[in-house]
Amino acid sequence: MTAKPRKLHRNNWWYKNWPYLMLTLPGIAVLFLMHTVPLYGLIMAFKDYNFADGVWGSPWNGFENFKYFFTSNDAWRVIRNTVGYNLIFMFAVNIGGGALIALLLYEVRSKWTIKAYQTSLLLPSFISWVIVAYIGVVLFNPVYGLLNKITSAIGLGTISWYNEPKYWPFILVIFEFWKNAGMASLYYYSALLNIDSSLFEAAELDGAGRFKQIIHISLPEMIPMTCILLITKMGTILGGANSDYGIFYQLTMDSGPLYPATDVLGTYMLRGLESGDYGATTAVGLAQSVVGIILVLISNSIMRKISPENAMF
Amino acid sequence: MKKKNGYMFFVHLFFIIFSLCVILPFFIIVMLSLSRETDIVDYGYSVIPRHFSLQAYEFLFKDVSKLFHSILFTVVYAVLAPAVTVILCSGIGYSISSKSDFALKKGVMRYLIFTMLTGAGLIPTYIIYTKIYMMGNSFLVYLLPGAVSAWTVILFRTFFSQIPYSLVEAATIDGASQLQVLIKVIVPMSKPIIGTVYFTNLLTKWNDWMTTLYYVTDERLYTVQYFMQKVLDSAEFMKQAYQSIGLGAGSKFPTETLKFAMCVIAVLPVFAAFPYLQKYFSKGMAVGAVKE
Repeated sequence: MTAKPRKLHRNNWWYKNWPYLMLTLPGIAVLFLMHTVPLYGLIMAFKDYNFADGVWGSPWNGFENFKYFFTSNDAWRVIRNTVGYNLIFMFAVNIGGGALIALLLYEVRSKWTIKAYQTSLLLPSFISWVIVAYIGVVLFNPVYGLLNKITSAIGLGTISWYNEPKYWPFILVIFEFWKNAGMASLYYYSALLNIDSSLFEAAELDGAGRFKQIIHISLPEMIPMTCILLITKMGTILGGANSDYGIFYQLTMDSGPLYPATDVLGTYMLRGLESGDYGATTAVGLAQSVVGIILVLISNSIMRKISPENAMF
Repeated sequence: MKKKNGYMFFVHLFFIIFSLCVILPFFIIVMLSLSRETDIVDYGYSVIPRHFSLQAYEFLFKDVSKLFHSILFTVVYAVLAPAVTVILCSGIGYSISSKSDFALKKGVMRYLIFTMLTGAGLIPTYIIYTKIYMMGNSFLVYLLPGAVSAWTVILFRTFFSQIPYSLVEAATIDGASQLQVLIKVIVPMSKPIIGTVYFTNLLTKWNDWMTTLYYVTDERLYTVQYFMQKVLDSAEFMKQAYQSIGLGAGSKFPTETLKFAMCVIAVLPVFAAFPYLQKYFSKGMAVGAVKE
């Protein structure tokens, strides 16, 4: 009885912390192996990688890989598409589409109707881009597709959809809206539900119409959510590490002729993996994540100023 | 009053059109899967089939091996992987929450932020996973890489930190140890967050095609989404998958209708689980809204 407490005292740190160590160590070990160890492979960005010599054995080549990418014809196209689509998706789908749908849904009073509408709003975000690609084929198939039936019926002839990049900026934005605007609206909708309904009653007594109520009550209430979305999405403008580029890869059927309008960093790096162009592709990934980190740090410091509780760190 | 009715008309019109845009494509795919192959070859896709036919489904169920194997495999993957995530992430989340007096809290948190900011990117990750861990073509490559994410850990931490401290205190006064507090007080209260994390992950895993694309060539380890991608990409793949039926690569093979029948089967589980998943998703929004 007397020996035991002394032993505990001696190992006090371990005694106090062993339950926490048991809870954290397995997870941290997995994270370390899966996330941190592969960082070592980033040195490939500065190497002329070949399979025989491996990551460490391959000869160094300085910034050649970066030069190779940034002077290539692909660089401008890929960067323009990635940043461009991410910005358009952010404003047209996550912010514009989400806010619009939330405002409209807020007008609906019947519980049952809200449920029904929400179901169809959310359903597309539950399926993968692979399945959406099947819908794409139904519309765009050059021989059997429904769209070509319509275009030839109204005398426009048939269009080779998977070979004509000029249509794809519109197609991509429409499909992104179709798939993700519903989910985006949920954030705004929950913000609207938090508004004290007496505000609307007071406004109505003062003779404010529906539009005035929206402009003076609903919209101001949505500004904080917009700021949060704007800032959190700003960090992923180049596509995060595991960004879902399914829309650019699956929906387009990875069709080469469409690349001018559809090639983004995700699809570009996938091709680098497939062709074994490891050094250059690693360099692109490294450049992407360095810019990504800078953007996240900037957006986070803005967030800390305007809304500390929403800052990441 | 009149003006308001006109406005509401447009509100409902918007949602009805949107709903049609969601429902119609799936309706058309079902209809195409019920079409006669020769009608599609002769007249193209149509919203209502000229002749109804169950030919594609007869084919599909004659040799159930490939598609159904990938569905079964994906179910196992989608059920197991989120469980691993919940166990690993909740443990870390609890240890760095305000409920714990873990000495390394700050260090763990710093490391998590480090992992949020950095990433090795596609190629280095691929090289390490396949050349050093030898995880290519194994089930581990589905289980481990996404198992722990800083975001999920922080979601748990936020939740645990919001549990009223008085509950923990009351249990401690009653003589409960830290472990007992965790099992008897914290875990039962955490069902909503566990459900949210589990089911969001389950959906992500069900929809996963990237992991197979990067790391797997063994057909037995195809996820259903990747299988469907292959089917869409090449009629050849589909014919090979159904070679054992013994029809050979003849023109009788219902390439088009079979493709859409497969699509119907592959999307069915999500639609069946949708009402259930939706419940957890809207709850997740409420939890996530605090953080985001």
